[in-house]
Amino acid sequence: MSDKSKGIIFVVFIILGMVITMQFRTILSARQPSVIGESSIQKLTDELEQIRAEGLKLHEQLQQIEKEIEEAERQMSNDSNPIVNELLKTKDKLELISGFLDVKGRGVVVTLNDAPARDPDMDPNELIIHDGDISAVLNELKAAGAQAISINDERIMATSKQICAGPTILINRNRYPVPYIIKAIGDPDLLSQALEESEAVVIMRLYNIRVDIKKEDEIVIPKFKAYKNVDSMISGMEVIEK
Amino acid sequence: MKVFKISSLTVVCLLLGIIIAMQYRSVKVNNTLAVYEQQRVNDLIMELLREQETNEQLTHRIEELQKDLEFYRNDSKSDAETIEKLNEEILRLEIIAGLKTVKGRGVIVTIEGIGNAHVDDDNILAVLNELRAADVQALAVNDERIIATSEVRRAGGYMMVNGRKLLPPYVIKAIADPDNLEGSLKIMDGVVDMLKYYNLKVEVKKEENVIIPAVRSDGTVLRYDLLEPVE
Repeated sequence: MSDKSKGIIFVVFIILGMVITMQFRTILSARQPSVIGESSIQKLTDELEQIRAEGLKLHEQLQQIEKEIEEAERQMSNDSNPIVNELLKTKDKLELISGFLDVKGRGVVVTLNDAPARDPDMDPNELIIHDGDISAVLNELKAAGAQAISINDERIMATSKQICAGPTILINRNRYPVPYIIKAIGDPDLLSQALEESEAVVIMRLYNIRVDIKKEDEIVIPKFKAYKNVDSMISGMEVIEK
Repeated sequence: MKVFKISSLTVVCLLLGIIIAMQYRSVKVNNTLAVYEQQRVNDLIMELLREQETNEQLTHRIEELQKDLEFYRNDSKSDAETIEKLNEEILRLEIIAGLKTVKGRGVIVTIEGIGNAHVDDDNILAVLNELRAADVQALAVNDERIIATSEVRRAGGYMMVNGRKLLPPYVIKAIADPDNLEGSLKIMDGVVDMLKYYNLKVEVKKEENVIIPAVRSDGTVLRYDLLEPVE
């Protein structure tokens, strides 16, 4: 063997040795964080489940108290003076107007679902429903005279936030996955016609987003779930008389 | 002998090439895996914080209602006390429904097209949504109070809100913590940046005294004749 080819083989083997060492080390180091990652993901998931269970219990407690208050108010209207009765009636009416009562009536139910993913190369952004789509649909319903609206049974208030984040939506304080079910009480013909003809729905359908619009004779829209105390919804405001 | 030497050298070099390629790919895969896991952890932490906050607020709400319940059940309360309590409740509901003119700290956002650009309803809706995300308490566009059923629709050169024609510039008033509001509007690539991209002039001003008028009381805006309470 000539010195020259010996030299070449020497260099090649040095590189080979280095590459093998590097490979070995990256595999080792890659294993480690992935083990840590998985265990912390597990821990966080457990914690989340626990907090969600607590939340569920709190919701039950809330519903219980609301029922008891209703009962107490009924009791009051039975055995009290006419002024109190009048005020209780005003309060009921205001609760109806401001979204603090479950309501029913005629209207439409709109179901929005992401487009079925056919082509894996397609931009997933084009297949999902965005904030703008939801707010456009709500806007059409409002313009067509909707009197009460909910998304996945979360009552829409003047100040309700609706944020789409990827495949889920955050409404009021709760997160929901698709499908998004929008209920609106109003004239069913006006509402459904306004939607069918709206730019927002036409464009969504163009992108294969599934939009289903159904007229219904009786829709129930639940009251606003006041997760935070009602005082904090108005704490920054002072009433001025006109 | 010479053939053997050349072929062995070829095999070694080939092997080396394959190993380097593998190395490169495994490093790439490992990186995306790590990024994905980090993302998962971040998402979980965000979700946790959000749920925790919700639970805290639920607890507050329960305490609030507990007090109400105690009051209603207390047999020794006088009619005058009951009337006062009910009037308080009624005022709170009227404020939330938008039936009262209110004043508070907040921001005023003015939007106007530059040159041929005109403001679209999407633009206004995007600002309103951003303000809602920042825990706004009251909203108005050109002094039309925004309630749960208010629409914002462009029709030619003007905007229909609550069935009334509004002309530009559009002045959006919001009551909430001004720093919170300003921050969420002006965040990088946020709604203000987006509007500027559409060639609109946007001005965000913090104010100590934002006055937001009550909803028009002519019966055309706040309609509830089709709503029936569920027993």
